[in-house]
Amino acid sequence: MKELMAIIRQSKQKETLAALVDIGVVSVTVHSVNGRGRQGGNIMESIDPDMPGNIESVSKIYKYPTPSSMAGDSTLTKPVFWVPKNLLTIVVSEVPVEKVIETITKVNRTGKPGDGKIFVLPIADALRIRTGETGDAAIL
Amino acid sequence: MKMIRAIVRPEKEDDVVLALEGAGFPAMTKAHVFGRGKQKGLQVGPVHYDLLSKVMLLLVVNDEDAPKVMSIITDNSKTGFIGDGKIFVSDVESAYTVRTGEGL
Repeated sequence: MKELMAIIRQSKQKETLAALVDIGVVSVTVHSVNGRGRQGGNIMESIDPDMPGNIESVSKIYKYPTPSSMAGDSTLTKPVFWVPKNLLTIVVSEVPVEKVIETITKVNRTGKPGDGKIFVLPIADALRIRTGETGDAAIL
Repeated sequence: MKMIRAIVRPEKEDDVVLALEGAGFPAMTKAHVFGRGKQKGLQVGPVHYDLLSKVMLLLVVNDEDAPKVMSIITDNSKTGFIGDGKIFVSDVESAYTVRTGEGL
């Protein structure tokens, strides 16, 4: 049993879930989270590369700038933001992990920063509350 | 790789995030969560607060960086009172970047 945690764009959620159903993964937990990656949440750079690190002008566009964009001692040179993302948690036993990864990657790949990450974690055990089944039977 | 799930006070979130950023860990995910601990919430006079607001930070780092990240989070979120939060560390077998499809 493996747990997959996939952080994806919110706009791709419907498409991803539909693609997962096609390969037989129907049980998914979705969290709405905020995140940032190696670019430090610097989404402005892709919109306007010439934009200076003018915090005030950015604050007008975005209602909630992050602490980093307001902080003087930040190590990042440009304003950064928390980017809204969806976190999908999937526990698989029968469907191969590689197939799920491939499906998520295929649907979500745009080639631009912000496509997301997939983490694979081991799961010790699972239990279905309704029946008390444990192990693989609980997630099939 | 290790996945670090830190549950911290919402008012300490800024401090922790800035410190992690300064130490070279800008990539993370946060979620606003509600939880309670050993004390089963908070009793203030006749009012009982069952679930308290917290921020969960989720980072995946290399094995050797995990102790460093944990000490940064602890140093910056500690107040010494109950409700400071917890840090959970779990193993990550593999990680993939969706944009390139490569493993990290």
